[in-house]
Amino acid sequence: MYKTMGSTALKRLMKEYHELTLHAPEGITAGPTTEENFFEWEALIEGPKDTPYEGGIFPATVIFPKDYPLSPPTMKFTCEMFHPNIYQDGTVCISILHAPGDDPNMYESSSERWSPVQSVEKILLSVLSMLAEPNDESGANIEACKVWRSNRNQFDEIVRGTVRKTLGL
Amino acid sequence: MTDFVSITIVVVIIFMVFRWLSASGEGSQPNHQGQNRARIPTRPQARLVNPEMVETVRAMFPHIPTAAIHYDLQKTGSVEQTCDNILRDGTLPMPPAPRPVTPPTASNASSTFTATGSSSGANPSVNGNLVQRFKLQDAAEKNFVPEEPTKVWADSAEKRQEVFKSRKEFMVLQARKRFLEQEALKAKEANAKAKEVDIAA
Repeated sequence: MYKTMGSTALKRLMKEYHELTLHAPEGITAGPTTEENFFEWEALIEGPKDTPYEGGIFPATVIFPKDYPLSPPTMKFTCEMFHPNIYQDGTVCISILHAPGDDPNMYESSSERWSPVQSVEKILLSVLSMLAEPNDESGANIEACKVWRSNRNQFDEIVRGTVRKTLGL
Repeated sequence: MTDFVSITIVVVIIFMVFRWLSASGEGSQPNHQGQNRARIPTRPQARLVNPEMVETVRAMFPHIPTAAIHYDLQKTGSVEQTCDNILRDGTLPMPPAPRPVTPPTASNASSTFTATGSSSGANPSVNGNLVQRFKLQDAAEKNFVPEEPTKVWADSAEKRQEVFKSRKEFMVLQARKRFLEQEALKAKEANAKAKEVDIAA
């Protein structure tokens, strides 16, 4: 049973990798870190325009469960990120990464939740729009929430600092 | 006297109708089926789940964890509906673990905040500096940006890996160059403005 599940996941991930290699949306590069392990991906996303993240490149790892796409993957930025919906350790808190029903606060409607019809590409696109529009209702980084709400200039400045650092400047 | 009797009868009838309505509105579970079971409480999160129900679902869907079945049965209160949920979603969500939120304490908050400026990122094991991580120091120093790698799907894993790697490097170097250009542009504008002010003065 588990074997068949694993191979379903592999086939699906291979297909998504193929698709993303050929037709990745602007500002997104993603694929398995090494093809020996298809369940761990590396993704680079470019900060969206007209946001403090603009011009930055942000690396993240995406870890897939063996029963993907039934269960959603988890995503974690591997650089410094200052954002209301990203935990201090880089873990992304976004509705598309949650299966319907595991949100005790019921902030999110189930339409924007994980389901097998979603994909890595859709997750990364959601993360891009999350960078552009933080959701301060379900905060993961309380400090970032506070600054984002109270002092937008300071928020932008801190984010610009992280952008420079990831680019090695 | 007859008035009193008829009023009493009417009141009793109204009362019974009311009882019947509220009972049937309480749940789709008809009473005749669940006589031996305890009355199902109306609150959605706290329905009684007996082990037979869990077993029934498990017999049909052995790959779903018992905890998830139990959790869903608590919400639905009916085997049929839980089965429908499984058939629709392919799985059932696990019961929510206590939220892993780590609200910083007051002193903690100020220290983490000041730390965001330094390199005390959350992942000391991974290098957040992409130039160092991808070993692009040479290219970065010369401000060199390679041509954009073509989007191809190679036949072998090694070649695909190479393409993927070159795409990542291209992305970082290009962003770096653009960032520097933007900054230079901004500095120029600021300079020009300062000069204008000087001339005006």
